[in-house]
Amino acid sequence: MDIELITTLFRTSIRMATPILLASLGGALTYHAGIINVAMEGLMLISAFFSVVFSYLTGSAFYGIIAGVVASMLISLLYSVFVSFLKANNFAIGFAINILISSLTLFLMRVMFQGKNAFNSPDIASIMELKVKTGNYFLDNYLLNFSILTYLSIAIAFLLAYIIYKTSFGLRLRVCGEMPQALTAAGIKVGVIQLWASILCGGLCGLAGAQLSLYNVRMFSRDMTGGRGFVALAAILISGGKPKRVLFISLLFGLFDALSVKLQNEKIAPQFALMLPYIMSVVVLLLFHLKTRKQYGKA
Amino acid sequence: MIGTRTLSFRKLLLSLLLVLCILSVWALIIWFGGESPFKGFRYIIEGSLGNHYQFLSTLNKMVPLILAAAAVAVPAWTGMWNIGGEGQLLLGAFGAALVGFSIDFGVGLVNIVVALIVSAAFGMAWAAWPAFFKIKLRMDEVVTTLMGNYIAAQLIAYLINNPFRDPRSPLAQTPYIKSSFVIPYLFEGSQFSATFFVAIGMVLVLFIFRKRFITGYEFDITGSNPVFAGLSGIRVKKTKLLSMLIGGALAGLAGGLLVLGMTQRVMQSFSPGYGFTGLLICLLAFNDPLLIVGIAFLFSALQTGSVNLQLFTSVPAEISGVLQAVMVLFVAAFKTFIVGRREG
Repeated sequence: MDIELITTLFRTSIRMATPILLASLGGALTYHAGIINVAMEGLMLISAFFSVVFSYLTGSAFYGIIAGVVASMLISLLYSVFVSFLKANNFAIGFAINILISSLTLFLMRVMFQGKNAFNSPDIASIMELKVKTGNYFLDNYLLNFSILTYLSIAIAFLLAYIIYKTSFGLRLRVCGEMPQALTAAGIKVGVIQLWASILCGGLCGLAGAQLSLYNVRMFSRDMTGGRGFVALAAILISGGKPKRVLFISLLFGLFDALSVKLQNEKIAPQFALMLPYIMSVVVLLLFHLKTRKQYGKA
Repeated sequence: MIGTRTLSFRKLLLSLLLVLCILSVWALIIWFGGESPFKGFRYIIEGSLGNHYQFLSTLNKMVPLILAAAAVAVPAWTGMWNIGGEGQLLLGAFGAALVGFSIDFGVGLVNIVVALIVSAAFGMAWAAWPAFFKIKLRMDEVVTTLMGNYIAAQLIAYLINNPFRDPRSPLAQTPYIKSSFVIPYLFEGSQFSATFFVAIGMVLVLFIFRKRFITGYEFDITGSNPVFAGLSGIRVKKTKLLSMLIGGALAGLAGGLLVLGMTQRVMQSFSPGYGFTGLLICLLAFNDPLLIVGIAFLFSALQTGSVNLQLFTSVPAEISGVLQAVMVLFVAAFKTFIVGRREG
């Protein structure tokens, strides 16, 4: 393997890992609050759509990101009201929301842009990269020119590790998932904690969607999230919602995405390359479960 | 007595309010699409029920929806989530096509039955591995069945591109099935065929299975209280596995019926999302087989009606998906007040 290939793979992995990381950090919050969030797919998709629309209309990626985050937070709020206050089944509502957003974005795209299955334009402003020049060729090209959201996502991972395990909000969050009666007994409303976790999750999924549509590809296409919300869910289940582990697993899934991109140019049938990330997320989940079963066996 | 009567009056009022809410949000969406709501509703109703061709077309579109919904419902009885209907349907369709263009038993009916059994078996196989991982390793079946959809889509894309591509076709698609496999149309000018009665028949079988058979009862007990089910001697894991296999078979059958009754081959983008529409239908029908038929009729009418709407106005046909999903959310919101809070 030559150095060029490794660096390309590395760069693509980081790029592809960022949305998965952001979404799974958001999902980790609701996971600790006792909600397995299956709506992340839809949250990312609605954000990807509105990020593109507002970036196109205003010419600024910043407003695009804001619009995406706000849209995602609103949908997440809706999800939380259903799940935490109306006590609807979280899977049922999650999938209803995913399907709603899948058809809603398609509908809006047809109405607003007469687009068929995708919308792209040179006027869509892309998310800026970190522009720091150190003079060191290696550093400048391989470590310091990712999307700003990439750096933000890594910072958020460490921030969340602190919040979840070291603050009173984090404590309430974890109690909310593990022993909600205790929270009720202490006079704290379980639904309110879950609501906050969901809103934060919406914000992070919003950033994830913006990264997808304003940096990774710079367009909106039908169902462009392609199951990443569920890859993120797999990452959460494997990591047990621990942010630093989430970081590691997301990078791994990013690597599989990068390999998939790379293999599409090779001699094998492209369908197998496209299949790879999904197969690998199942395989990693399987390995994790095999390992935990062994541990249970010993105990 | 008076208490129950006032209660049911309240329920009636809430149900009316629910219908009103759904209709007004639908009207808003149609208005946003660029058409006056009343005209929009008229085009949808005329396009789906206006004359007997359109009515037959609505009935015909129900076939995959009913079976895809049943594919979610049966596992849901035991507390399993089958989100993989889309993939199972694709594999079932391919199975039927594979039999249809490669084998011939000489008798039309035998051909059709064998092809349908193979399609159900293919769908079942695609549901088997997530179910197996779930009961053996407690691997979350939501994630695995969903990933299965993406894997199946690429697998089928590969199969119809390379090994089983029709050599005479410029597009990636399988050869046509032999004419002895085709389920004929019943009326001239309409694609309506006996597949509709197969779907209805399956629903009736499921209904009777659930209400009159011990295994069906065990499904319900396993879903509502697995601990109690285990204590009363039901083999919970086996029941869950079986429900998932039946679900996969139903989705596979949907694909098989589509191939034999309509498309006669498998091509790119074979399914416009039947699996997910089926999921929505099942959510609205609260897993009940007979309700599934009713909701499937409504959804199918929305779909054929929306095509008509697109024909005459600037509103895109994709509106049907939005209308359907909005309805699910409203019903979920009102369910708490009408039926009361319940798990599941």
